[in-house]
Amino acid sequence: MFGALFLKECRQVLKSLVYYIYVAVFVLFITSQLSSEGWEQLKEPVPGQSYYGETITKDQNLIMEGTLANLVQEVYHNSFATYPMGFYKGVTLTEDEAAAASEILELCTGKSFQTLAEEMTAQLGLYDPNPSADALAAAANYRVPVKDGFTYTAFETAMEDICRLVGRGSSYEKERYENSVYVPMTYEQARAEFDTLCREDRLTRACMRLFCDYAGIMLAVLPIFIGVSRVLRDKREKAQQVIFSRPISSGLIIASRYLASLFLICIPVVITAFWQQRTCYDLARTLGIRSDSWAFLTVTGVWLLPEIMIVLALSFLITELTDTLLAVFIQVAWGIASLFTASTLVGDFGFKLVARWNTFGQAERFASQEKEFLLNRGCYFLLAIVCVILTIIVYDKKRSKGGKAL
Amino acid sequence: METSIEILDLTKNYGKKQALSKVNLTIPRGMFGLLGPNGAGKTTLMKVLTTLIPKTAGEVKICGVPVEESRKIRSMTGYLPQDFSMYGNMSVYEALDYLAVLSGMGKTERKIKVPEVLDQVNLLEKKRGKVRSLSGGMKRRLGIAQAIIHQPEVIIVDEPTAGLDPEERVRFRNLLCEIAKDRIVLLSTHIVGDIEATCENIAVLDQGKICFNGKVKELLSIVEGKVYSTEIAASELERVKQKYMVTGILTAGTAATVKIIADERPFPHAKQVQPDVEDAYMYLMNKKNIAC
Amino acid sequence: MKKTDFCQYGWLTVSFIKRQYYPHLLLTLLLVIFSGGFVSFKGLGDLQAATVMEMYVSFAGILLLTPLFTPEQDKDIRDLERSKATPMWKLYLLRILSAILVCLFVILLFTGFMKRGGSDFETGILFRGACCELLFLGSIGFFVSAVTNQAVIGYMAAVVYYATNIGGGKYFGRLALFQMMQGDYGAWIYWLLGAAVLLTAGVFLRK
Repeated sequence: MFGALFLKECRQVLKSLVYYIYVAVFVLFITSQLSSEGWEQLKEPVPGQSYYGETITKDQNLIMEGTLANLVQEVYHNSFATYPMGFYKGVTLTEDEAAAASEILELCTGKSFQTLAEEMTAQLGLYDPNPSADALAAAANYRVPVKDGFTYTAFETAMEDICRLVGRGSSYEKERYENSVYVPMTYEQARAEFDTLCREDRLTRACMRLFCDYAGIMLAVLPIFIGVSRVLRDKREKAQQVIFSRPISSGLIIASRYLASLFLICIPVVITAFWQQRTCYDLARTLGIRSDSWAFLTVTGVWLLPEIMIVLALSFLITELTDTLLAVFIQVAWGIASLFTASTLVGDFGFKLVARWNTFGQAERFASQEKEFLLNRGCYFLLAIVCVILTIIVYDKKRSKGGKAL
Repeated sequence: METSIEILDLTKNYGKKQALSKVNLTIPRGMFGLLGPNGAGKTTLMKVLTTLIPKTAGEVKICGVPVEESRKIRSMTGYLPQDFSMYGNMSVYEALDYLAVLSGMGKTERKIKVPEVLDQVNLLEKKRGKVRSLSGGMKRRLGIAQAIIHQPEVIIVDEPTAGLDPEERVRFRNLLCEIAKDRIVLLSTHIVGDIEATCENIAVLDQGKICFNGKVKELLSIVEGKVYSTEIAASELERVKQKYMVTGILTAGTAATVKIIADERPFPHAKQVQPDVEDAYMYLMNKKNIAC
Repeated sequence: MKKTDFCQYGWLTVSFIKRQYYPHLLLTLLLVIFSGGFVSFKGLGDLQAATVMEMYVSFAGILLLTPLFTPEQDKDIRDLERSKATPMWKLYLLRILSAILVCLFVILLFTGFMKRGGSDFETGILFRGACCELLFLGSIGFFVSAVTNQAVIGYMAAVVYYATNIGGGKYFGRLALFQMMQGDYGAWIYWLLGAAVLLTAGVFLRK
């Protein structure tokens, strides 16, 4: 019976306009965003290149120098990027606060702020919207050394003072600065990175991680509408009473509706993933790499399925509870907040709904964060199941209470 | 298992408002009419019987099964709500097939039963038409089809003929009578004609209480010898209406023929006539304070 | 407009707000109350003030203009209202005007917050741009609701338009959002025209 009901629910979703809007928006977004990635131009690093890209460093000295370099720029422009509750919040300090920040910089570096600013402008020059490889290398090389004898502990205290001035969610929180100082890669590092890309990621996995990064943005929002629209449909079409009076269990009704929506949401995701993987697959063949042909299923399955599941399940639950469009407002805010909370576009998974990996490759870096990533996805997977169970309970209560929202 | 509905001291409150008050009723096999004015509590009673709302107090058993066992009750009842509607973009066949799945019917059974029931309600020709394109009468017939598709022992229909044209109403009544041959059909209505044409047993509900419970003949006997017909001047009409219970007026020029219910002959020349259910119902409603 | 007409339309609008619209006003209020946690109002320049308006305050446009047809989503109610003497377009116009008034108030409020925080920006230009942008974004939801008779699809269209503009503004030409935070204040007229077309088309479709 479940099979028959599942198929009927699939037909219901396939007859709704919301679903076709979802498919169109998702496919257009993915194709427009990923077409500009140009991984076809991937080449082996050659000795003597001026720039090989960047990598995160764990060297305490480099962390201090990189963080202070960032601080000099933000104090100079008096504009601090913070993400206290998800949204970007540009903080501007008052004159007194800015002076206090300059003093902290002077304390760390032993130089006056005037000198630091001059050094910075000399190093970075004017802002160039289309920087050349040399300009990028110069920006990546910009460092502000600490004064002699300045310890890492003292640096941590100084950064805490900065945090007190600019508020929560700045780049000067320990967790952030320890994972965000980039240094230029050497040829050896670039070579190792390329080898890992071929050996570990087998190209297609890297390609699919990037695909998931983009797809995850839209999938944090679009399934909400499919869920809300399906749940409200019974009320809109005045079919509640007649469905409520059938002998079928509430579990079967909700499970078939949920799984049918989930299945149909996943279809365009899998097809576009497969389509995008093709270019990488061809590239791997020309480079003589044995790619992972199932990456479009395995990587997207782990990365995107829990996200779609929780977004859909929560929209079912909230809408079934309230019989209103409240889920749209709550969940759109959650999706956008999750997107803007990211201090970096690569990693920093935490418990964010949208897991970002806006880079091609970096397998080792991913491996170092994989546990955190799997914990994040696992939690959302379980939470989605809990939400579906709660929806069944709510639906069952409504069935015996004349269909009134709780 | 006995085919009957037993209702004992059923009470249903919505907050402070009492919708049903200590209702006692036994509904046997066949057509049973539930009559009452709008807001009398008929829909509430039906929703309690179909497990759509919980009762506040009392006991209800359908064919020996207590109403608390909602799953069992739902599989043995078919319900046609007052404002039956289904997904408009489904075809008639799809809609019935969908509701048959929700009733737990297997594929083979559905393949046989769905066309059969559509034929029974005279909708087979419309099976590919969209639900939203059906007329009021057709929609109501689809409603009865979904209520009988899983062959329930009890069918509960709430105001099924409201808004139908006379021809469609007669067709619908006949359909209900056919269905009621071997099961209970509980028909709720405020249209007296529906009851008169179809039911042997009836109950009258008013303000959440049962005012009458028995055979149609017994209801008629309440008003036996109290219905009169007489011709009066049209100008007298207002005065007569104020003094007596008038259930029918036929005006022709300056004269009017009126049907009056009165305990004693209202005018010397008034003729006693045979009462119908409407007369009895009106009399009952008027005297409800005494009857209840 | 006669005095009695004025009272009648006023009553109709108040009734709409009391019965259908108030949850959206409450959500807008929440958007204002919690703004301090999401965006900063202190010492902002032109571009930063525009960012606050375009990225955050513009949600008020979606919230306030999309649900204006919700009472008439039920066809029976819609038919009943259409059978009455009061023309539907007047009813919708009043709802649009009420929504616009609330939008203006919200923008004014945020302008005040930023000014109080010592921000320095071209008030008139930003106010004009923000009004037009909010109106345009909201009118997308309004129009799509009118076409589909489903507020949920209206919200979807407006939210998708907002989201795709974050990275894909180039596809929408002069009607793209977030132009002011890039220093371009000239799009207001296109937003205004776009909003006028969409609102008129929406009312025309539903009248």
